[in-house]
Amino acid sequence: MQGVSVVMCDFSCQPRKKVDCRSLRKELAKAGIQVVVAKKPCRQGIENLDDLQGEKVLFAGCPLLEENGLYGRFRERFSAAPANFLDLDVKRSILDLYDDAKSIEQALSRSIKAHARILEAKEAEATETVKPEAKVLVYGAGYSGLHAAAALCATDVSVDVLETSGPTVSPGCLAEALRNRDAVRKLRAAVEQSQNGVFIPHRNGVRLSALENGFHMRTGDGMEALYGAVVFAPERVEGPCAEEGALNLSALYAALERRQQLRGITAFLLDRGRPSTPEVVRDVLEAAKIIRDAHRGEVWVLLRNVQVSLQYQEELYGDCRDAGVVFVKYREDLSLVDDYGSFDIAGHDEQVHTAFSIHPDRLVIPQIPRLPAEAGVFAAALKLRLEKDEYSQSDSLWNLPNDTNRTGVFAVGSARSGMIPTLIRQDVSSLVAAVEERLDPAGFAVEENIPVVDADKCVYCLTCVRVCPFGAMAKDPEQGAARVIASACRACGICVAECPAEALEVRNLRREALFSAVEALAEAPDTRPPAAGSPAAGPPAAAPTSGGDS
Amino acid sequence: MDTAKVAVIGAGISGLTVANALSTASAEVTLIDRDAHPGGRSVFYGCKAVDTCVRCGVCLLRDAMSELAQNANVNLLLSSSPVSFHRREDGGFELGMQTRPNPIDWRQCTSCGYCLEACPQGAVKQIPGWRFTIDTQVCDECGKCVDACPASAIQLHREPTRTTVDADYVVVASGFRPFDPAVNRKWGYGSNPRVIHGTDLEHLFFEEKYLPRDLIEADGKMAFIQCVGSRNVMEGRSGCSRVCCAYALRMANRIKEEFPELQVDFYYMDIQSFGRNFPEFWQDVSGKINLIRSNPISVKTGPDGRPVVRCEDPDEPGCRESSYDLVSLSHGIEPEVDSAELAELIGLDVNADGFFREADGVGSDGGVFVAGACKRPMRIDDSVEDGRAVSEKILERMREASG
Amino acid sequence: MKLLLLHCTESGQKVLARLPQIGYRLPSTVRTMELKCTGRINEELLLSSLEDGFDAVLVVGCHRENCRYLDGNLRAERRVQRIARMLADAGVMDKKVDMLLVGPDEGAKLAARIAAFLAPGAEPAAGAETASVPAQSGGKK
Repeated sequence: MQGVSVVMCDFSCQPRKKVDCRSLRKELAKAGIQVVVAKKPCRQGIENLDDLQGEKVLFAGCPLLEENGLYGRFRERFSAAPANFLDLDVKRSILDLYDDAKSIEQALSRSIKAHARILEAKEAEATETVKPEAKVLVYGAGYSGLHAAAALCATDVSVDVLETSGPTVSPGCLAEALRNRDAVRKLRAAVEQSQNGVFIPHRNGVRLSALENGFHMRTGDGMEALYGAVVFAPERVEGPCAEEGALNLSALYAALERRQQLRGITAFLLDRGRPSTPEVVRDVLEAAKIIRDAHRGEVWVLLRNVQVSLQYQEELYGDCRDAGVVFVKYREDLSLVDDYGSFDIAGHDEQVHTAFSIHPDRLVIPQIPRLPAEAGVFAAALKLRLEKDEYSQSDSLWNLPNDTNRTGVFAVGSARSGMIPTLIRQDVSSLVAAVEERLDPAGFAVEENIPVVDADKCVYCLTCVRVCPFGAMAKDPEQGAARVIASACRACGICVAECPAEALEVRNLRREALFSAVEALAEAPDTRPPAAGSPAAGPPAAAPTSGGDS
Repeated sequence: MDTAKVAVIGAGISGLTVANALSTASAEVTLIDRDAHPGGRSVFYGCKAVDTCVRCGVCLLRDAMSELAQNANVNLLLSSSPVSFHRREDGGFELGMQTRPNPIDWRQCTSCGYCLEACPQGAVKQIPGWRFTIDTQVCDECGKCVDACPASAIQLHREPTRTTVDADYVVVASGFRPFDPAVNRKWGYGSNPRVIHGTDLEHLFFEEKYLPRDLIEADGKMAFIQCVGSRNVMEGRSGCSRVCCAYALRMANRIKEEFPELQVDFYYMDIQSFGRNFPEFWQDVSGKINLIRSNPISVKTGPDGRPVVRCEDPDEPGCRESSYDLVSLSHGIEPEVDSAELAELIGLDVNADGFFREADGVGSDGGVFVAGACKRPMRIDDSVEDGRAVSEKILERMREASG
Repeated sequence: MKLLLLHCTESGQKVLARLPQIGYRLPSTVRTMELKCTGRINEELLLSSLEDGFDAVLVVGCHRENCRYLDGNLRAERRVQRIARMLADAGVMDKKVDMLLVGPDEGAKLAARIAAFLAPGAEPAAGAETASVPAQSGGKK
């Protein structure tokens, strides 16, 4: 049991203190474990940390140390050395210490010993640092991608922009692109003129593989490069309308751009089948206003919900109404008859409780934007988890704002969420922060306790490669085994659970250690008789509330 | 980069996000809050998931609070407000802070809870993810908590102190105030105990009660009323508060899960979509609740003491009245009570609705930034995104400054 | 009745810290073991825990679509369901496994489930609801 030290709280805050730290220390010392008793560690920290002789350190204390985040601070302090927290059993025992101090001490010392045995089985680890390549690949030369590339170029990092054949602007930004026709061109020029921005045409496919310090890309043209970070910023494209003769929003904006005269009646039909997203509504309102102001055509906007939660959207509705746009909140009984490219729409207006019927010269039905096929292929090559409707960032709170499931791959702009230009500019700001952090010249530390592949046991089934949510496992053809991309691994342990050959082990909790820890928990004696199903209300406790059903 | 000093006014979700993001080795952050605890308002909100996350964002706040607890680079100044603001000639700022320390010294408190047990008035509050504080409005200074505290952390009378905070950059993240429905008698809030509001319901969610069980049975009848204090020119708030459709629908969904026999009526004008999975969520929840497309005229008290919601009948000409066991007013977001004073103190522009205008450290403001709901209504996830974007703007300035 | 609580570091640990705040003390017959993610759990661990002397295993993880590691909790759900089915098929009545999905504040939910396990004759839900595990590679889910 050499090499294990225990830092123990003195429990002096408990007025009915019954844990005899002194005798406990003697007993543990007999087993070769150094015990250091800390005075009020929750308040005063621990002073004599440098006196610790053990290679492995255990902390034993009450739940308050956990709740106050103090364990977290100790973790920081000991990040360079293996450390562990004797939680669980001891915490449970401490809560019971008012009842039977002696048996508590025995249980405490037994569980400390059991835990120490587990630690002995673990290997020491060094903390690795990875220095990613200071180069960024931006996928997408549309509005979002170019904004991101321009902002990144301004921070002096080297940027390659992979050109795509998709649209340059997504719904949500159509109005801005119309107003400011030079916007995309100016952004492109900003990237071209910067010292560190380069455009790469995307022909003949790309091959991507993940390495420790970045992503290696080889294009079909034979160009090769290594990138520390990848920014996935394609624009999304609307499909055609199912109703022949109806226009989608992009087609309408294309007509506006061509300065086509839009006289007669234009009707916009929103919320059909599913709710429209606020940024699409924004573009609809802007177009409606333009058609009224500039073309003097009659404009109807048929919707089910007035979307006003985006900034300034309320004013835009007001401007449209002032310009003479007719808004109709239609009921479910709307009928749309397609008569060889001309339409008859009839229904009931819920606001004024009257029937209406129109025969528009032009019907615009915004479609749900999707990723172009090319972008989908690139995403698949990167093993990016996409969301429903092909948003390029899975909808988990922990990804906010720009992370994806792959470490080092970021999502920005219209492809990650429906956005209007002001939101894209804000999004690019947080993206730059994230990329800067990733490309920090000091490097970043690899996660503790990443798995280790036992090449002898590995059967090269590559289950781990398929299963890893973060793309952190790859093939190693030379070894004929899987390998861990340490810089991408988040040490969750899913691959360890999935490996059919048990060839993966997590360093701090090997299989034997895990099983014996559970065994030790099962064998630890009950320290007091079970309280017939009702929760005891001993300190520390808030006044019992609805918690603790009995 | 040299160590830059950043003062963040407001330790709610956006202030916490900025403070955590900037507190790297190259920035020394002073995080200020007028409350005796960080976390702002959403620290008392509850998770609304039904086994599947609905993205309400409350866990983001819990995460930000634990990050703060472990963050050595953030200097936390609680129970403090700025009373003076001075721009130095070198471009930096000096904030004069007044601190009215809470009787419980948070640095000494070990969260043991003896004070809560000892207090006969219920003045001791446990702050989720934090320690204990005393509500001095309720406290009658009997001193029982002082005796009970083993850490000697409680002193009933603490002298206010004044300090000066030096900063190269200032971030205003002072948050919002929920609309108080009591200002308009038509809502019945305050006059009928069966009329509650969204924040009351959030607190019930945090306590995992989900409904005031003493007021409503599992098979009772409740109503949600949307747009209370929003989209209403006469109430002074014509804009949409953005958060209410989201929180009310998520809460209705959770409540129906807990109490399937409950009848839930949902009075609304329009539904604001939120999040990327909205179509699925809407499909799911709209089948469980009774949608009534009408903005109520009033909530009066009926002869049996239950609230009666009167509204224009959406289907037939005329009005309709329905009686409920419980009415929840989904109230919206307003600027903070003292936002006008804060704006004047710091020199921020205020828009027509009273929110602060975006200040991005450019122009004459140079160095003052605004984050979070104090500039416009936003949800918890929006606030995190906004906080991160503001942090980057400051990091950019820091990079420029160091050459 | 000995109960093993296998929980993750995210929600699991936070919800355990919440228990004292609501006045609930874990009975001494409940033992807890922390893992980084419930995705680390496999069937072998569940069964060997029951063999070691635990009468029941309750896996406590994050809500769906809230796992920090994306689908660890979904995998654990599937596994727990599988073992629960196996036990039921084999006619084993005195050993139980179940999974509970919680957020960091849902102490009462956890306390209620533990109490249901420990109350004599309690029949906890036979496994969690069917979860869907996302496609392994990128592209549409």
